[in-house]
Amino acid sequence: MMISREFSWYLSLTCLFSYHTHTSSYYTSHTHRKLDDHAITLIKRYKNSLEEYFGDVTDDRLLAFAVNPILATEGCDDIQVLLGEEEGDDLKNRAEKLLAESILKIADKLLTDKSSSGNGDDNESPNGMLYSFDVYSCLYKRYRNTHIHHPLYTLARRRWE
Amino acid sequence: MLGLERVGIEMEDIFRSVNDNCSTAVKAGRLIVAGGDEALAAAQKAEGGPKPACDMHLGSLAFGLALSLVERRRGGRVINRWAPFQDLFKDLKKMVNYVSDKKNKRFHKYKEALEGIQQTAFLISMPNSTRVAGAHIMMQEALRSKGALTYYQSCKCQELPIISKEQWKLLAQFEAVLRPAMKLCFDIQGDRVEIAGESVLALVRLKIEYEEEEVYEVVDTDADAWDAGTSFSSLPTIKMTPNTARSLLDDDIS
Repeated sequence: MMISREFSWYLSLTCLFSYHTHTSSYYTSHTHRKLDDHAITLIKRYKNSLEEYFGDVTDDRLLAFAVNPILATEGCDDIQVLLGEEEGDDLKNRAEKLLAESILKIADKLLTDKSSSGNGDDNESPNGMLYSFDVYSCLYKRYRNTHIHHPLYTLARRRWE
Repeated sequence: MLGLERVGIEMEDIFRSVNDNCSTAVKAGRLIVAGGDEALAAAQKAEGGPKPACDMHLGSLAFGLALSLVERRRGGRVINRWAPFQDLFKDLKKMVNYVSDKKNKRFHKYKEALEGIQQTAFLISMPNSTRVAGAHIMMQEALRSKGALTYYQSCKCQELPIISKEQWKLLAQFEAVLRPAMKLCFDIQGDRVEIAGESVLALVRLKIEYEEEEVYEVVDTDADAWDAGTSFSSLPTIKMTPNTARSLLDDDIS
């Protein structure tokens, strides 16, 4: 199935708007007050600290984890054998859930960045880091045979096909 | 196992504990701080950067450095002291120490005074130096006890070195800002095989949360006093944002 880029964006944004309104208080409050400067500084300090300790979590890095045997669906079969069915199942489900949440959040951020920059470049973010299609193609290929109802598959298909 | 063997994690490691500085934790930690590259990890360590260890310790260090609870020294001098937090934390500890003394003599008086007005009093836990996330627990427990401490100081014990109204407000904001960071420390502290694998995803979520989360639920220290027995999640809150523009946008939308 081929869909145009514009239609794909429309679908993505519709989906994300729905996602936002269900998961965030962003659109619901009208009584926000501004944090003190010290609290804002603390946010910056913590972000710097995370950066120093854990570095950039790039798509490549995420993908490396997505395909590592502990997390990935196929790899989790290894773990399932090692740990037994019950524990392996639990781990597999948790890994899938975590992965889905994280990728959806990243997609959300990418779409926001791209729609605000408006440059239409699908492969590169403003800071030059390669994005999206490598990850989505990989997810698409991984999920297409066995997980067609999985949200990650839906997302990947929309971005990849 | 191919994916993990390339970074030196072997089948046997799956069954080993992943805590503190044990070899499996170091291998998993190397994956976190240097993408599994042993040489890069060694180079970072030599430059005073993060060294591979268990994820919980890395999370705690990131947390501790932001607050300057973990000290960095150069030439014998601390170079990362951050006064806004350190000064508040010092006063907070002084206040908590006063009512949570080791022999509990002062605590019993405090508890009796609160029982006299049918209010709850509990011992606020002091953080130890290695588990800096404990600082956040103390902040939450102090906020729960705000009404009790304020009553005790104003009616029964004027010697209690209570923090000022402005400090309570700042404490509540610091607590709210640090809540996701605290969650990371707890999420990745389990001594289980899958934690090392999940921790990068937890980090992704945390980083995005700090990039995107424009609204923090801050305990409303101006609200009517609450009993210290109230759970932290039930305390009254206000929504606060670091971004005025975003706040105005919200007002337009609503």
